[in-house]
Amino acid sequence: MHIPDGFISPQTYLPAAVVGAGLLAVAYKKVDLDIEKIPMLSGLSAIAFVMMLIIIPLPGGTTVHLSGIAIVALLFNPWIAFMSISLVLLIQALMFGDGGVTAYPINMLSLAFLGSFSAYYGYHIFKQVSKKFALLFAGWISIVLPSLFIATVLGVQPIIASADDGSPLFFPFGLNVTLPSIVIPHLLLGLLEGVVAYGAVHFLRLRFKKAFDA
Amino acid sequence: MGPFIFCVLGLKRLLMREKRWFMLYLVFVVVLGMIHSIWLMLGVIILLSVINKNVKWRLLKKAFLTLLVFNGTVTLSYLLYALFVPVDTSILLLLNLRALAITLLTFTLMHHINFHKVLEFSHKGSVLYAFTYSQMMLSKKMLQAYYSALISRSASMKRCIRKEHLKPLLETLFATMLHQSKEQSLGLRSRGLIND
Repeated sequence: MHIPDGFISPQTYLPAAVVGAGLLAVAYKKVDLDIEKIPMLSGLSAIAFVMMLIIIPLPGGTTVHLSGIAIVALLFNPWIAFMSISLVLLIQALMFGDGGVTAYPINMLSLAFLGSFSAYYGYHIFKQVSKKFALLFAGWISIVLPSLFIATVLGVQPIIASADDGSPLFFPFGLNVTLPSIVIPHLLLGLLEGVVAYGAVHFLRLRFKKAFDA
Repeated sequence: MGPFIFCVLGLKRLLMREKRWFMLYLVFVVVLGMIHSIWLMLGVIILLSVINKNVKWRLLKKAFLTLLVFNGTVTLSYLLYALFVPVDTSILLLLNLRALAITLLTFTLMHHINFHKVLEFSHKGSVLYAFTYSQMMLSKKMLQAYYSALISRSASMKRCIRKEHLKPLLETLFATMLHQSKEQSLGLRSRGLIND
């Protein structure tokens, strides 16, 4: 879901970078990142990174990859998840070219921030009704909401940044193309992410109870 | 005392160099986003290739592959779209050249500087980055080993994880992460970075 380089205009990514940096500053303050927590947080970031590398086959020969955002947000808390996913996205952008540097603020706000918080609050809204459903919903929303945000940001690029003759200078497709082509597949992908989030959170809490009680 | 001061000053200058290059890189990335000239993008790509000397082909290949994987879908779909609706396809060239220039610039910078030093303005930030990067590489290697083990047991497995493999994989992954975190905490404590 990461947006690559060259698709986002400076008019979009510069304000997004300011908002993202502000949110990261709040996160670092809130999490109270003492040096003892750093190995655990880096481990979580590595888990999120590996989750994005795990490819799962779908019928028809296609594959999808997990995001792991909901898993980290639910096992710990959304601020920790936001911090660790942001770091993963930064390393991915700089070292591997996976997600552009210019798109990093948007990727951070959508995947790391919206993904983590929607999963966490989605779970807490529905956990009174059914814990199983709440976990499935958390995984689903952690994929769907960022995809909606990304589709909107990409879709407004032809309006925000275009040449005098009206031709686009960055991402060329409008909302009529981005919303259905990005959001609809993620509505389905979210179901798989929900099942994986349910399985992973349930299993890891059971298997590594001590780590979460600490 | 003299050599010590010399070392400290040299180190300070080195740190400044890394940060200065990174700031310059950020400014350059924004400038590239504000220029809409195909020739200038080509010029930047050629200039970066000249700067990269011995590693130019390796970095160009890496940047080109990144472009192919991540920007390829949009380029292809826009070309298909152009078959039915009259649109200006020259923008695709600018879009891809700009993406290639920025990606190549990023890889060039990462090849020439130590990013860890850029973050040294924040002690926690640089420690967190170092730990995260090392854990990411470790986990990546572990996942690759896991894939290799799966492939060696089933010719049809290729590079996909199936439902039945997810549980043991998650367990191994998480246990490795916890073990590494504990080891690193012990390492920090033994070096006096954690006070009990």
